[in-house]
Amino acid sequence: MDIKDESILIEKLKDGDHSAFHRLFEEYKKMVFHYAHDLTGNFQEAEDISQEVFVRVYNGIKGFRHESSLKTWVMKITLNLCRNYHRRRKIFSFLSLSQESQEDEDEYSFEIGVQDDPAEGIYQRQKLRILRKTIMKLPRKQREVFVMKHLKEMKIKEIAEVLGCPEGTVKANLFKAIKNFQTLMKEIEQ
Amino acid sequence: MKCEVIREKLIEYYYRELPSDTGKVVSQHLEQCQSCIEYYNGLSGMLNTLKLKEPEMPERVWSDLRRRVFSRIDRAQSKRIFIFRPVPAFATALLLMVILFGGIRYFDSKQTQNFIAQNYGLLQNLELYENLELFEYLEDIELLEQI
Repeated sequence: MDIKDESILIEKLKDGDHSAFHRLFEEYKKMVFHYAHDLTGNFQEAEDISQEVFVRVYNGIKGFRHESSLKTWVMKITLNLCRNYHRRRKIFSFLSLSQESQEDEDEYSFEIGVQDDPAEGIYQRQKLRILRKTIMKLPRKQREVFVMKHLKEMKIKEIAEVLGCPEGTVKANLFKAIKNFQTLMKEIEQ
Repeated sequence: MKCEVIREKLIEYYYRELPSDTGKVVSQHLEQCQSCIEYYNGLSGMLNTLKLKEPEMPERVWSDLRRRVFSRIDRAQSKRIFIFRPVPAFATALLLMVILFGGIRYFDSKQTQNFIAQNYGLLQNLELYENLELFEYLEDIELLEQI
């Protein structure tokens, strides 16, 4: 979506245009869901977070002040909700309310590539599982940066906007994340 | 540039995020430095294996999400229609006040009517009673005079 299209869409959203909101949903549903899934590692949570993101976008669009792009704003909301999820999880595990791992077994990953090539499907599924496990082992800041950069292919400048930090911090966290990734991958392979 | 400085820039180089002039310097260095190109190949190899196609989700996931989002929005909207329309809200409040105060006044007047109906005889003789009170005063005056 180019800048002109985006500002038209925002104006329509601010006017309460229902069809504009449908368009926004279709445009960003995959980005929001996959980002939430990559950060939480939990399918159900990703669904709940995605739902909450769109409701918050709908309720908050009138206050959107064009300080960032619509995409960055939506990502910021998703990130905050994922952080809340991790905070909640930390409290629960501290209180020993939930001892089992919350990461799911990639409910939907069974459909990846299976139709075309079963062997490739199994390989992709395995790769996805290892990748997701490794991502979840990274410290929070590194995980957020790595997912945005490597999996969502966002620019460092955009990531800095979403996180509200200098580009140098993003680069430093990305560097550390990749270094940690190398070590963790080796551990998993062993 | 030294190898250490170059290696610090290799991640940005991999993601093509370096300014073009710095990118050129890194490319030139990699062409000449065997250890740096090996380092870079290792790094880019690992990052390439971590590249994943975003999995295609079954349509039911999106339709379910769509249904949940829009039903919440519709619910919120219907609430907002009732709460945030100032003119109908004001009119409703005014109507309620009219009904309330009208009711109070009606109840008041009904009670007065009932009182009059119940004490009609008494009210008819009100003048007589007032005169009787005057006699009481006269008695008091006489008593005072005697003292």
